[in-house]
Amino acid sequence: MLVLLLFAIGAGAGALGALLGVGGGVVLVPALVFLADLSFTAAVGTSLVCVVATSVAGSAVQFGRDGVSVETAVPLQAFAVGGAVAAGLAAPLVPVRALYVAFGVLLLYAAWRAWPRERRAAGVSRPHDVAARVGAGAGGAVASLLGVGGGIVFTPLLHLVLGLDFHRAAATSVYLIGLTAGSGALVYLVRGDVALQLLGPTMLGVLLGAWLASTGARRIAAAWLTRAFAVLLVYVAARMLLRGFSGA
Amino acid sequence: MPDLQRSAARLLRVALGVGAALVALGILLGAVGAAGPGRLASAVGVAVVVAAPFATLIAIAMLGRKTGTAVYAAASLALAILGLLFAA
Repeated sequence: MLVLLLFAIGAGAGALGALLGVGGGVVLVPALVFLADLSFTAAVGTSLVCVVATSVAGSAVQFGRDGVSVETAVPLQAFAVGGAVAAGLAAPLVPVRALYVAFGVLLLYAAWRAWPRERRAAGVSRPHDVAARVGAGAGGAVASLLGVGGGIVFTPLLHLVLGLDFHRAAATSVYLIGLTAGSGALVYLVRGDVALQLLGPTMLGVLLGAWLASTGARRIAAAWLTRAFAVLLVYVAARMLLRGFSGA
Repeated sequence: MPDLQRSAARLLRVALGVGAALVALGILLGAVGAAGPGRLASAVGVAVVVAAPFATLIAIAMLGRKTGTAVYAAASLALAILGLLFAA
């Protein structure tokens, strides 16, 4: 039963990840903690591998459409990987309750970001600017520390700061999160902090969901989907913050 | 650039197919009682998927034929390997 549930959750996370340019970790980490009863660290490690799967499935489709802005991604990727590796190594030193609180805050931010509204791309920076590189490093660090792809940082960075249109920003973000989550996942895999027995069904679900969503991404009017997603994120954020503050 | 993107897409599709097939095989083997080979198949499938973004990075650097692209790719790989060494 748990196998089917994880497959379904993986499919949903993969689809949302591919549609919104995030990795799906905001769904996977709480699901693995609350439904599969994994420790936060094991949930983060397992989620990171699934986020790589989202990226591989989404990027395979987006590269085929010439959708990824390679010239924007290349100057940022080393900084994103550097942030991911540094945060992955520092993760065991950070108290678990602080990570729950940080994840709860991240989910509230993700809910605010996901709510559909008019956004104007500013294009105030270029990929070689220090601000863009610092942003990429921060995205990598968030990815590795909290088990998400970092797309919550990358998509706004690429769309609002670097001026790419939303679909191109989401596609480029999906490519970048593969590198950040991959770097973090390697660290967690070597440390043995990945629940391999739960990974198979979750990852297959993620691959299927991300593939289907990437194939139909431009046909989907995602406004209601993202509203429902935002409400779900607020609910999960409340549970994470409760656990972080009370230890329950 | 479109050629480069098509090559990256092909590489990722192959990795995706091989990785997903091995993970599915691992689950099936586990279900019929062959836990050892099942774990091995799943682990290889996971390794293929996790390695795919880095293989794409190398492919973009080689096909892009620009010094800057190669330097950024080398720096990314070096940082990922450094992280692995520290974790081990």
